[in-house]
Amino acid sequence: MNARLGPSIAILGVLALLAFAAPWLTPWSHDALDWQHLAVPPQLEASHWLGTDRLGRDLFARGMQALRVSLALGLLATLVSVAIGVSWGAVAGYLGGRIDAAMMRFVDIVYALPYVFIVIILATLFPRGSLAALFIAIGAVGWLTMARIVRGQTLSLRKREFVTAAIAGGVSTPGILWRHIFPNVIGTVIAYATLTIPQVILFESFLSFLGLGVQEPYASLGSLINEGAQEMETSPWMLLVPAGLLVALLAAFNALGNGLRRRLVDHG
Amino acid sequence: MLAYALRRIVGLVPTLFVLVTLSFFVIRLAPGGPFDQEHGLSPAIRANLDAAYGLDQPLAVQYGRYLAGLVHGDLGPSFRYKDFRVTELIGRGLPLSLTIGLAAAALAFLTGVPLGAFAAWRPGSRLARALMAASLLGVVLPAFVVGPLLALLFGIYWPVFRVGGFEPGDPSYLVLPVITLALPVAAYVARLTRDSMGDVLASNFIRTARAKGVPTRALLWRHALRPALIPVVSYLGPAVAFVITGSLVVESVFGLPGSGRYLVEGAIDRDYTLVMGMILVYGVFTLLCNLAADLVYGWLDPRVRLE
Amino acid sequence: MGDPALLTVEGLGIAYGAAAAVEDVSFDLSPGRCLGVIGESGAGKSQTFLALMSLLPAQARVSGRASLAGRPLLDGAKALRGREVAMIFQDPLSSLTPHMTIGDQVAEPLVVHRGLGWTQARQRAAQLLDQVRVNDVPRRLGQFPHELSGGMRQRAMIAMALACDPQLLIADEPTTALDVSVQAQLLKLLRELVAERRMALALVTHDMGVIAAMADDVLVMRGGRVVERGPVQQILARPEHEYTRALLAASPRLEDASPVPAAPVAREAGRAAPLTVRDVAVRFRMRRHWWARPEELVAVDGVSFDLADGEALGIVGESGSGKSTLTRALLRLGQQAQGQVSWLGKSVLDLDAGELRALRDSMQVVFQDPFASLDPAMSVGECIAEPLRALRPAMDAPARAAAVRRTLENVGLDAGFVTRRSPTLSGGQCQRVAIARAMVLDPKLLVCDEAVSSLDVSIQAQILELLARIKREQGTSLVFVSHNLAVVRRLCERVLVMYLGRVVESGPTDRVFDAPRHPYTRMLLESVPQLDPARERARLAALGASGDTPSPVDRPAGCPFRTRCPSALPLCAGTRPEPESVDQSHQVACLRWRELTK
Repeated sequence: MNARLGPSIAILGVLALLAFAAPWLTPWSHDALDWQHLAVPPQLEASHWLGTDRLGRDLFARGMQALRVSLALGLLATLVSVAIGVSWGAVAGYLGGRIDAAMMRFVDIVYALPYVFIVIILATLFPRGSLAALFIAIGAVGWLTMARIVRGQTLSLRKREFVTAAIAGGVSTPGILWRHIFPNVIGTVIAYATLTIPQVILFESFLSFLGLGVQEPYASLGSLINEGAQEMETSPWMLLVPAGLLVALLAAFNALGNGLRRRLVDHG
Repeated sequence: MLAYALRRIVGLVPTLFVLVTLSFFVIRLAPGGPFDQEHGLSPAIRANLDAAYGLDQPLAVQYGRYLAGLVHGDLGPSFRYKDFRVTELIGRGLPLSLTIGLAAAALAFLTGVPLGAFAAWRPGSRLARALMAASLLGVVLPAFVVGPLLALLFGIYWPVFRVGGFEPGDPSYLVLPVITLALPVAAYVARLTRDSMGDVLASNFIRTARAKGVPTRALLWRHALRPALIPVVSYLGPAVAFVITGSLVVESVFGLPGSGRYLVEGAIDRDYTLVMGMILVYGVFTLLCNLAADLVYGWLDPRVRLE
Repeated sequence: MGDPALLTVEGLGIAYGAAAAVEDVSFDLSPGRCLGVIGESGAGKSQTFLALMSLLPAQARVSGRASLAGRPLLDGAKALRGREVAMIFQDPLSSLTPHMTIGDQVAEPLVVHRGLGWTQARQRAAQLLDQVRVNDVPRRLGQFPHELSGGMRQRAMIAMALACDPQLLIADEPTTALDVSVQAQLLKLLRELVAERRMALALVTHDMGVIAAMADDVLVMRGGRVVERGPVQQILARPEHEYTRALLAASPRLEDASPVPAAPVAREAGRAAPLTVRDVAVRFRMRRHWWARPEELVAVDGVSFDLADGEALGIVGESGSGKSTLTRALLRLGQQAQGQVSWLGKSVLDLDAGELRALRDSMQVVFQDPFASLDPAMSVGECIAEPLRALRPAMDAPARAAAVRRTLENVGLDAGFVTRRSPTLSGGQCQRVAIARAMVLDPKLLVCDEAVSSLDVSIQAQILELLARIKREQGTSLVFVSHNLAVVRRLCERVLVMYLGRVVESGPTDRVFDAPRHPYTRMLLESVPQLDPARERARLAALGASGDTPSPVDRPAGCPFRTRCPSALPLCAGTRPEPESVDQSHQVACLRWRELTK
């Protein structure tokens, strides 16, 4: 079991370290233009370890900056999603009855809609590049699965006899939620939160790919992939570098989350 | 079973209604109108245009007119492409988009389920372990990464399939787009099937069937498959939603003349009716797929039918 | 012993890694005879037979030899499964494929082993279902397992097992999950089938009564080994091994005298009983579809009784009787009830939330599933202290800790348990902790809802002893809900018998059990296995058919028992019987009780 978590944590650690240490590692900034090395493949000369793009910007610097953006956005947006999802699910699961039915019906409807609808609607409502739009878009989808899971757990916990015994013992409703429901749900929440992070990062990359996310001169892994896709015939590294970083990031988070889920949920 | 199906179909109508109404009012509330981009229009001409398209009426009236048009199958005129009705525009690209989407979904389930079932049946085997590792990767490869990569690989380095554009009647253009769309769904379905089949194979009624002497193939097919498919079928709805989203990317990356671009362009140009039309069409399609999933679910699990 | 052995097992061993689950098990079984295998949980009895059928998980290492009529079992069982040897399991709901019809499942062995076509096989299946006395066979063929009652499902399992005329039938706790009246029917059926077909039957159980009723030879298992074996009369009357003796001693017998009423004082007229219950009813409103009219399910239909100080009242009934719903309603832990409940002078059903909480420290509850009653995330000490924290806020931490230690000792656990968590405890230990938690507030009323039903027989006896001591020493009144009449007899001075939400008979336990007046009480008592093999066989042979309890959603009008009552008359459908006094405190609710008493 431990073997599962080790490599993912290691990969994530390395990526995070590189991303945040990058400004000290490379002489280039993310928007500096190197006129002498336009669209060169990875090389040691002039410290362009991962090559440059069409405008001569160093891909290592841009890649690491994009990684910073993705990590920060991913973690922050996940936090918000988790907060919303856990509250929604716990309330629905504990109150039960019609309130639960209504709350989860809402979740079902939103879950079944292609999230591109939300994106499009937001794209028409907000000006381009608006961070608010980005957050709302990501938040709109990120909390759904968490709400479902927490609601399921809360529902089954509420029926368990130790909750009835606590009520018989005179414990108040907030007391039950805090002392009984919460500690038994926290493991699941952590596991699924870790699985939400890559979903959020993926979604943000998707938006940036469409041109709706992070704007110039800042880069996101999605926008880098977009640029790279356009140049892939002549400069394949422009695609492979950000794609590789994104895949590594997502795979590591997913593996970590799955491992945690196996530990905390299935055997809990 | 029939009663169950009818109940589900009837339940569709309110959701559809909500979808139409919500989209209508949300789009209209967006700042800006369809003719804002046209510079140099005198107010008089602008007023005429508005009147011609009915934009000067109160919202409620516009809504009513729109609904009336819907009943006749008319999605209204496009504001951008002024000579065309929305129905025509969508109709041009829709068959291609639907073909790609359905083919991708079918491919995903037809590969994911057997592979996942096999991994549950022989969990220790090397093939099973390789499959699960591959599926871990597949889940994280989004269409906008895989698409360009596949295009690079097969279009340029090793030209086996056609890449870019589309000629009617030549399916080889569609191979890469469909694979790109299907990959993450197939990976997820494989994992889902494996987990679910694993649970089923450990259950009591499988033990009874083995005690009865039922041979392996009949065991898997008659006893294990249907309960194991339940969570997989529940995923059908979201899978289709996912594929629809992905088709936008795939059409863009591979240059396919589908209907997806109307959604994005329509949003940017504030072409109300076009965006509404696209949302409606895709929305109906999603709901129908959810309905199909529900019906299959009812067939798989008899307990659901009686509720 | 008659015929040469059909089944021989020599030196069977099962190991998982380094741990041995079963060691050196050997026995024989001849055709037409029944081998009863008895032991508590973890004894390895199911494992043994699963190994014979080659149904163990892949990690199991099986050693030893076994053969059926000369053909090898264990690894060789794959060729014989469903044909020469068949097995039925404990829980028929989870052991039947949920999406296949009964008809198809019973027909399947014929298709697989005899090469019949499905249509032909289904016809044969109909005949088999008839033989196991399933009612309304044509309808059942097309139904799914969840549409049948527990007893019907088990009969279908038996039909399925007998389809290819096996020589050996293995039954693994076949009646454990069923009501006692249904259990008796099923055992009778098994006996008849075994005799007709000259089959060998291996019956695994934890219930001595079932052994007495069914077994010709007995195998006593413990910790994976055979501890004693012999003919049933010898094992039951003159057991040699101390474990067998302990098992027999712990099995509650119905013949035991019940405790002498400890507080006859309270029964005097004029002195009000602390708990009075009048006309309590609990109704659930359900909708089958969102547009359909809501239906009403009556779980408890007008129950009245009194409970004296320091008295133990047993409430017995089978599934659907409403006994658990009633007790939860009394404690206001479930659905809101109608009627009057007076406890310590307060009208419990009308209190608001604050007053209710204040009253909670005087009435506590212990549930059936010991593991589910304790929060796995909390330590034993925290579990027991929780009611103190909630209802005695003035107590400081040292006082609480002292109370916890005291209560732990009272239930027979030493102070070291304070830091343990429930997943590391045994069933009996968990239940003691649950009792400690209930008693830490020194309540005047303790409700036990099937509190010993999930425990092994020897642990059951200990917990019953503990409860009896609590009643004696602390003067706590007990309401003890159970489906097990012998257990109730051991602990309770008075008893209520419930059926589909009504009290059909009530009174001193001795009187009600020795001279029952209501047909249902009689049927219940007749269904309880005794420990004398000769009497058991006679009892089963004399048993009449009695069907299954109807679902509470379809309560019969008038007397709820009339659909199963051998003495029912048309007039029973018209009026709902009210309790009438037989004598001082013995009451019965039956329109015909006078005529039916010999």
